[in-house]
Amino acid sequence: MGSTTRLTISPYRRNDWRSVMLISAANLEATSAGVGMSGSKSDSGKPLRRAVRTVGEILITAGVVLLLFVGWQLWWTDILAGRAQAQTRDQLEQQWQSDGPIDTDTVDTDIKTEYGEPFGLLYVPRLGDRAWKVPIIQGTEHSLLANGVGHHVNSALPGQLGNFAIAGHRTTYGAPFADIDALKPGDEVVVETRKGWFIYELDRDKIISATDGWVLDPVPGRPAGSQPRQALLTMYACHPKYSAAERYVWFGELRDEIPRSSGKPVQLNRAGN
Amino acid sequence: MYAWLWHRLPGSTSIRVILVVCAVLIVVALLFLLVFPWVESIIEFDNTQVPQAVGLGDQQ
Repeated sequence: MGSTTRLTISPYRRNDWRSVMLISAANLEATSAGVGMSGSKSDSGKPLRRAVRTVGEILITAGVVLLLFVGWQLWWTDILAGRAQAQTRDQLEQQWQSDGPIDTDTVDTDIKTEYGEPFGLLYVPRLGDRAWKVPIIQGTEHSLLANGVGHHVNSALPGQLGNFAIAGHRTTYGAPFADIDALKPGDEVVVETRKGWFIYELDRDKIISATDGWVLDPVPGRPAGSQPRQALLTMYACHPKYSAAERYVWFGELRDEIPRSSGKPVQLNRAGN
Repeated sequence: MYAWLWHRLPGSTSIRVILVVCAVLIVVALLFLLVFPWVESIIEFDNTQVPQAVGLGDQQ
């Protein structure tokens, strides 16, 4: 009810309030004019006023710096990651080329990896450009995720029995998994390695706490130590967006393996690629 | 503070404006290239990892 009383303030009273403002403004002008006329070089005046003004200026500066930091996080890191990912992709493709052609009819899951180095490319058709041809780096350290998505070093490699677990950014640094919540069961995820392509199909999602390491188990959701009988996929990102309190996880399993000799899988046929 | 700095700047108003623009650009560049990456390395706002508390995890 208090706000209602304030809203029904009489016109007379409102005018009163305005005139107070006008008087204060006039006072301020008079003060600054006085300062100017006294020939003082800088903003002299009473020490208290100067102190208040300086504190105000520092606070405004701090606010601007904080806004700049947000801008840097959301905009500049995307640019940096775009460059880093393109470079990593080129490096990987050159390396594959120099390693020589693969002409087997089956897909070999035995690939060499090195901590901090890329070993594959990730395509999530539903997520669009952000999650298209993203380098998969060995390791999930923060500094590595600027170059792509990170593979947990102790989890299975693409196509192998067990759990192929990868982490990606939800916001900042290119945010490959920005729209991870838009995925649906049945969506496909393609992982390319030097030896061929692995098609995983997503089957369920879950929001977990940031400490739920079980999602990385060889058979997530089963008691630790369960023997894997399938090639599974876990991919996750931060949740909710702009927070790191929880994780948004998708689980999936291997549907298909396509050797190099068969050529690019149909899932990768789209305009511009 | 800013008024004091403004009065310390040499030259006419237009030269001062150019100097201020340059100073602001230098400060923003320092923030973007040095300060912000350093701050992030301490805080890690979008640290996407699931720790190795249970089951598998990374060494680091």
